Amino acid sequence: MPFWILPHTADVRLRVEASSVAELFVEAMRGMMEIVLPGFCTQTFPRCRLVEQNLAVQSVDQSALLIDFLSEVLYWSQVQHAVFCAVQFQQLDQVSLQAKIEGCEVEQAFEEDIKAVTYHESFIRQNASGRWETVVVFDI
Amino acid sequence: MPEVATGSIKAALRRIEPYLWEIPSSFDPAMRVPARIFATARMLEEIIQDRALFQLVNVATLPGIQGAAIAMPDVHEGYGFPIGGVAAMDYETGVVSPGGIGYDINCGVRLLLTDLHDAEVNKWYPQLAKELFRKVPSGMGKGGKLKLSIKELDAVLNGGAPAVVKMGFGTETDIQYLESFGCIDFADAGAVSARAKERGKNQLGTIGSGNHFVEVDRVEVIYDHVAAKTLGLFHGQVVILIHTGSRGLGHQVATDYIKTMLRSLDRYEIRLRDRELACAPIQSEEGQRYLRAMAAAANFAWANRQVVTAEVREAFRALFGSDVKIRICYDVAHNIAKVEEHDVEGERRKVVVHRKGATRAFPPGHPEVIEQYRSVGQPILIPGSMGTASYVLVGAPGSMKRSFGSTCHGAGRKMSRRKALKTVRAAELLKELESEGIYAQAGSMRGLAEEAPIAYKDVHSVVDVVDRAGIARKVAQLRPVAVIKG
Repeated sequence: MPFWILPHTADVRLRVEASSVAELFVEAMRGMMEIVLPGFCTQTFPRCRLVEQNLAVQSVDQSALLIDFLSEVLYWSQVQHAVFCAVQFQQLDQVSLQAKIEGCEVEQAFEEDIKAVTYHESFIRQNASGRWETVVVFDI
Repeated sequence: MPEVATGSIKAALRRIEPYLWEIPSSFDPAMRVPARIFATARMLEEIIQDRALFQLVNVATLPGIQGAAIAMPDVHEGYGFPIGGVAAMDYETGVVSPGGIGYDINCGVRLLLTDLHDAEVNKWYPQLAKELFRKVPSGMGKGGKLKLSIKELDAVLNGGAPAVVKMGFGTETDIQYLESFGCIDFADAGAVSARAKERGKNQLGTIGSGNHFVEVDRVEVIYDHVAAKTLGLFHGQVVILIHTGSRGLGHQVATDYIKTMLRSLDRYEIRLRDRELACAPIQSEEGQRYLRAMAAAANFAWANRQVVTAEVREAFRALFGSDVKIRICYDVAHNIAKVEEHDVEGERRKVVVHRKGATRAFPPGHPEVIEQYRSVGQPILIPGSMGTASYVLVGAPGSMKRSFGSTCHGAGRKMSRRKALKTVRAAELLKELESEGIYAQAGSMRGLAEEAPIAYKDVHSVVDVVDRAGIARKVAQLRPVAVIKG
């Protein structure tokens, strides 16, 4: 599993690890969606109405870019009542990205209502084994 | 940028009053003021288990902070600021930090008083829980019946609770019993993004999920008969607590402005320990615009609790007839920034008091306490967990000297949601509550388990600390009888 939920008294702390920065962004999004509706993105053929959304995000640095990207996904997830499981990046650098997120509009209620994605503790770094990792705290 | 301050918090803590502890500013060179915590020695052992006090130390490093960074006995780890924290910033030289208010701007509590006695109506509590669950929309992203156009929404953002009273939700009298009369006058709907409006436009009159609720209680114990009578409380009385905030609209306002302020940090030469402390000078364009947007979101929250009040009245009248009387006792904000004047180091100073998981607690005689309650002090509403008790307190003189007119806001979590889910079975919890005469209705069994009483600190101890520390005074204890959760 590329993401793990760590202890936090009131909110949700997610640790994400991946072999590239792009993959880290994808797995962080899938981790967030796992909090919103557990198991949905791991179903082989989820029955749903497909939705797509184009995103363009600019931020002060790479760590902030991840959080701002997740905030964008959260916004579209909430207003479309959708779960996004895939991303196609047209462009991704240190401070900006353009991407298409793909997912499903769902009937069932979300399991968890994420109020916001916070910048708290979110620093993208490469660990000793060369993998990229970060922690993201979600306000619940 | 270090994540947290180094050193041993435990070794640095010293007791300065029987219920007040201090981490001196010498603990960390970046601290501009000490950090102070209201607690017993036993509570402190629990508090230091998470990162709350490291976060409080970080708050003490912010530009313009006055007096001390303060934590209440219900403090626990948040993100950036701890939950249960107070920070007053100099109005001219200090900063405003959206993280110090939180994502749920003006999350707060309202207490409604009925003229019903528990003995007359207790057999109806199970039906009352169901009726409230039908009438008050709750749960994840749940929209209400009220669909506003953007023009109508702007009127609510600028006008607060009085704007929805004009739409037929409640009476002019209701407004007299709300903190700030349910409206901050410098609110500007134009400072709120289209996205925030999109998230909030269908959410008026909904409680949402998480720890939000509508709870019917009976007045179980009265500690101060004079204050209770002044507030309209009597033993055995059926009362209602509403706990909710600004919903998706407030969450988006905070998200938008934290991003904006992160971009402007270099311009104002602000260095932060934690990006969730993102801030801007109060007098800057970013700071002023955030305050106007925050005020608009706060107004939305007061309007939200006003519409929920109308839904609660409807549920009670459906069950007990149209002549049942329900009036507002008071409505408090516990995630908000307020422009106030306080005595700091012998001087009267204008400050922006950030209360994140903390309640205003102005004492008797304070001019901002409504005239009806000025002789006893501002009412403070402290919800406990759904299986224990809630409290009504009033502000006490010590709050002005020690905590910028503030006190605690609830029991405070002690167990993570994940651990609560692993520990508690919702179906069993429902049965246990029922065996104690508490009827719960929840949109999500997972949500119910996450909010189990075991996940919270002991509300009685929390309230005892603020009472004994002299920053608030106990008036009455409430016992839940019907609970609606998202």
